[in-house]
Amino acid sequence: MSRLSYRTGLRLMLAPFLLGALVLVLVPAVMTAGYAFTRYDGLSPAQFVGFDTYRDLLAYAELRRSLAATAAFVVLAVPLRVLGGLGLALLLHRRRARLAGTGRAAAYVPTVLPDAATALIWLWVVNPVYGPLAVVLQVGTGSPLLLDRWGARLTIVAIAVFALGEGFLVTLAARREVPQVLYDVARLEGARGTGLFRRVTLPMLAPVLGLLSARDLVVSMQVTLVPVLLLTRGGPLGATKTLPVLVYERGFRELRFGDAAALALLLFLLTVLLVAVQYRLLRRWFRAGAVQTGG
Amino acid sequence: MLAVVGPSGSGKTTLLRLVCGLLGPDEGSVRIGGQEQAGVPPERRPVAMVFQGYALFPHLTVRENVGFGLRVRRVRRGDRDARVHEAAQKLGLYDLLDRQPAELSGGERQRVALARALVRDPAVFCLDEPLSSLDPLLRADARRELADLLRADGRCAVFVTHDQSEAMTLGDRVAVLRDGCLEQVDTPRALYDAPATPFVASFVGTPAMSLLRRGSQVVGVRPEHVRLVPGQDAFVHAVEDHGHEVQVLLDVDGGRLVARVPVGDAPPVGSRVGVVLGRTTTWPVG
Repeated sequence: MSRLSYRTGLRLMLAPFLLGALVLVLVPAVMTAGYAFTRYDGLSPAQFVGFDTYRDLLAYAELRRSLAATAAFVVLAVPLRVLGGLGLALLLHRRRARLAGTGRAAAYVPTVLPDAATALIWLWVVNPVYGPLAVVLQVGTGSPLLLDRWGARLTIVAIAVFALGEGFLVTLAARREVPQVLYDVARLEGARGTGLFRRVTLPMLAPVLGLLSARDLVVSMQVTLVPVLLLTRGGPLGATKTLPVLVYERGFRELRFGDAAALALLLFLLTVLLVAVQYRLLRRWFRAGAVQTGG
Repeated sequence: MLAVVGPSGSGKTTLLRLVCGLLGPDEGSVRIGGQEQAGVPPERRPVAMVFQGYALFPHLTVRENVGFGLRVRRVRRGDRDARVHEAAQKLGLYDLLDRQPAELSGGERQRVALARALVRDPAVFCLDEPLSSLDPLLRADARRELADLLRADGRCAVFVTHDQSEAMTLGDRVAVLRDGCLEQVDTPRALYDAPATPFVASFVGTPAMSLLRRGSQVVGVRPEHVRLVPGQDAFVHAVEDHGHEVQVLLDVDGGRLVARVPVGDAPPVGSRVGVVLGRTTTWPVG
């Protein structure tokens, strides 16, 4: 057996991933950034139009509506997913508590399902004709769930919230890393219940929660595509036509690749901006408790 | 100053947790200065605890760690600062107040943990293995420092250790625990000279007391009370040179005996020697 040097081995191991990153991510990203300033239908050659695409996009209400739909989703889904994962982790972290094992499995399983499968199950649950949830809610509110602006938006949010398994798992692991003795220290001083949570749990989990919320923000900017296409097609009246959905429509339905590229670039820049703002706001969180107790 | 010593799982930490109120007793009672503590929550007991590994909050500075309890108790900021400064001064932490635990050495962390206990102004200090997470080279110094500090303050301290030499040197009295039962409480001297049970005898002293079966009795003898003379009583199993003295392991009727002999007086391994026992302690076989 021939022996490879460490560097050669490393290069061989990394090669497929570097190739993938180059061909599937970097090149398309650069091309997209380029197409963002052209008019291109995929058949005739791209025509350079500079910032005209953006000027046109900003002039129409559709982009504004789409930004509103995206914002509505992100603002609801990110905190719900992160806090939901935290809540479940705190409920289920004890190793020997009753039903904790079952609970942990149940909290994680929805994450394993493919997006499309989850969306189809939800479509059955909320479809206006015989969906059990939709029928019950319609009796209550009088209007079909998916035909209501917020009904449709909340449904998409709910789908995303159910798939919080990864955040849950990370938070669960982090909670188990918190030394029990720190709780003893706080209990000796009279902290109980919410005091323990505020003084010990929250600061010790803060770096993980900060990181999870940043990751969740990035994911949330993109994750709506499949459920929206399968459930609402962006409706009613564009209430759920989030940016990725708009990109998809412009590019693959209307073959206006220039517009789609411009929107994709906008989505990317917006994501970077939001994560940067979030990092500044939560900077203390990222650093707090980043080191383990000594001894 | 009471040292509590015993092997792992003998209930030392449980004892401390009972004293400070993290656990309630199944039976019996905890009294501090004559005051019954049943039903008194931990924050109202006149007890402070220094935990094993020190249990400092990694996200808080030294100042915040020391003042943690005062903060939870909603002590006013001015009072809090004054008390934190006083404790920090006493322990030489004044220049470290704005550091984080990760930036401190083991000894400094120990002092922070002590300062956090000190600001509570307790009647009783509970210390759980206060020296075990220190580098062995630092331990002797830290042990003296800790003794000085606790004695200077003149407060009652209960400290737990699995290291009998630590217990013997730090404790005014030493309690020996085994499987949750108290075997003996006495001064280190009395524990050494008159162990109440064979377990105490075998636990205290380096090397420990040798125990021999003699009919229905167990006979204990300290290594320094074994004298070697010409004869055939014992087989020399091994000789250990410790530098300042030599320990001779002897096989005799009823068990193994350790003798302490001056350097140069050790018999050769494999030879036979006579043995004269000086002071011995006997217990019935139990």
